[in-house]
Amino acid sequence: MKPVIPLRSSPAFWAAPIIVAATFFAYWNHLGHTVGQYTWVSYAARASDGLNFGLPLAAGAAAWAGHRYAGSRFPRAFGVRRSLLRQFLSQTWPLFAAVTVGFAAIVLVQVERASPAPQLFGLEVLITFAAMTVAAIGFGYSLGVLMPVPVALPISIFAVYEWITFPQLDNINLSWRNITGYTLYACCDVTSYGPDTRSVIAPILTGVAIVVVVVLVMRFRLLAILPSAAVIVAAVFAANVLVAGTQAQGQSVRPASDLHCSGSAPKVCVYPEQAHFGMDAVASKAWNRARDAGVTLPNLIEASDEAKETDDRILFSAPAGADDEEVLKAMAVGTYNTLTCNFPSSEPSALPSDVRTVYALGVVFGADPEGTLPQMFASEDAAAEGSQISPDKVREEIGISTTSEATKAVKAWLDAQHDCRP
Amino acid sequence: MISAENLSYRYRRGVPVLQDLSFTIDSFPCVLLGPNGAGKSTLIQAVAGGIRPTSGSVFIGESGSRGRQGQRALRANTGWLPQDVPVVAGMNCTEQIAYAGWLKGMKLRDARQSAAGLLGRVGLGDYARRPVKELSGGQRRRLGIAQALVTRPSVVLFDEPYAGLDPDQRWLVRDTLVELSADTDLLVSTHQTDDVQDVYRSAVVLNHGRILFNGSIADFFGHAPEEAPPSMKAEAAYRAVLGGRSAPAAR
Repeated sequence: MKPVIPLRSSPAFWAAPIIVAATFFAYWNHLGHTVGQYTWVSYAARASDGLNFGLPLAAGAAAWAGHRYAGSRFPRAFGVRRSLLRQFLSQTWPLFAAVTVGFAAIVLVQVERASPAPQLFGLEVLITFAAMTVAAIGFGYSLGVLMPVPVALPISIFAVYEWITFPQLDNINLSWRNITGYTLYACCDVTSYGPDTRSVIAPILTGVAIVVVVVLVMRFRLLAILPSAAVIVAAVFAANVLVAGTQAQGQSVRPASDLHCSGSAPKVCVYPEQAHFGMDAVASKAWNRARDAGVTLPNLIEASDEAKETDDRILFSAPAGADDEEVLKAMAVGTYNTLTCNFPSSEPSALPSDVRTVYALGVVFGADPEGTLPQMFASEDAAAEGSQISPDKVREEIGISTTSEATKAVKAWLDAQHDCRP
Repeated sequence: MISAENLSYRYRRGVPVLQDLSFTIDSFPCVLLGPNGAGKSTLIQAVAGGIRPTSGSVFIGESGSRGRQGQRALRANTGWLPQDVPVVAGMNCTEQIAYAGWLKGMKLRDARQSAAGLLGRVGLGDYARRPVKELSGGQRRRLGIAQALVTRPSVVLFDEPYAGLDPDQRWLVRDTLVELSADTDLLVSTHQTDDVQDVYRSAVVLNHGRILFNGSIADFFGHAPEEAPPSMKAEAAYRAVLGGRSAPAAR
């Protein structure tokens, strides 16, 4: 069936591939193409963030279409019987299609890269995203109805970009970004996606305010731009009050019922996507290696982001898809954090004891000493403390070069925890 | 049949344009005459459902302008050629007519099928694929006529169809009107009085938002002073209806 507006003369049609490309570009270059949390909600949130450029472009094209088809006197000159919505959709559907295609493409890329299939489905991000898309395209369209293209097009692009990203306000108040649900997706692999309700409502609120203004402008031909702008700005400020204090992303601990357990000595419980990458086998092998070296550890190992002193479990956190070395390092850190209850009153060397113990644990678990040492301890931690230590210096300070020396250090640390552990 | 009951319209700033008009037009084609600012275009728009009367009602047959439904019914029953025929950049003639039909509620396929025949009917058969932006003023006017006809309305309203046209184009548009009048009710607002006798069967004269004359062409010409030369009869009648102005002198 032929479209109402011939495609070759439709600004929306020609803008569509550019929008898809810009959406993908934003995802690939600015958000990083890493896989987020293994949930549909997280994928959807990440995909909607990819529209930082796509939605402003869609708004600009809508302004052009709005001016060409509704800003002209054409519809009014012939006694229109079609509804405003039908007219709007007939002129802008390629923009909605492009945004949807861009969105779906990013989701599919994540799914493809993130075998196994994601879990947890939720509609909140989709609804937020839909509200913002309608608002952005409607806003551009109404500007096009009211103003000439050279004015309406840049204003709509700029205004929607500012609205979508609020980028400059990052350092002042992170919650500002939640007006548009900017960082709704959760970053981490073993936390459950739990978007703050206020961060979902805020973009919907501002989106609805914009749509109301758009309808008023288009239905009643109100040329009062200042009152329209005042309504939108008021909605943005109201949304900011709503999201004040919310963090960049909402997270909550993933339910333990999601864990997939295997084995008995040790019993290793990881999330399905971690099991898919064989992390449970790596953890089990590391535990057995420690046992063979004479190190006795709790025989329950669980994936968790809440690595802290706890009961007789080893809690560790590693992203699904991490290679074996990373898993072993995560095991070392998790083991130290969950089993340490007796902290030394004074440090024997320039390096803190936890650095030495974690390194020793890593070696006992089978991690490559050469590869582990500088990556784990020399660069990031030291730099964060402002006292960069070279890998050689770290190695010298640690004083562990063989597996037996590492085992000895781990045993000494475990002995020190005997008195305080339950 | 077009009729009105106590029809009034005023702009937001309060200037009355149509004042308590009650009339019936049942003989077509009908010419609507009046000086600039008399309210002709506003009356045309009110009949076309393009504006909602401040008070009173307009009817085409049984369909009235009361409420939104009535307004929609008016739009369904009328075709309207505005003074300036707007064109949509990027479309060709067929597409613009089809788009106009779709806006008026037709299925796009039906509108496209009608467009081809209508273009031939208004003498633009060879311009089906011509971008509308490339049309001359007279061609645009004929395109506008085709658009007004696309929904096969029972009444077609023309607002100043000859304005700004050269004699050739004016002749073409006039011919089109005459041809259309054979099977469609036409109400034509114009300043052009030289062909009134040949083309129209009734006349309405409007001034300051009030109807000064509504009757047959014969009655209209009855207002012309006897001494008016035959070629000036229509103008003389018009001036007489407007307020007893003296008949134009023979040259």
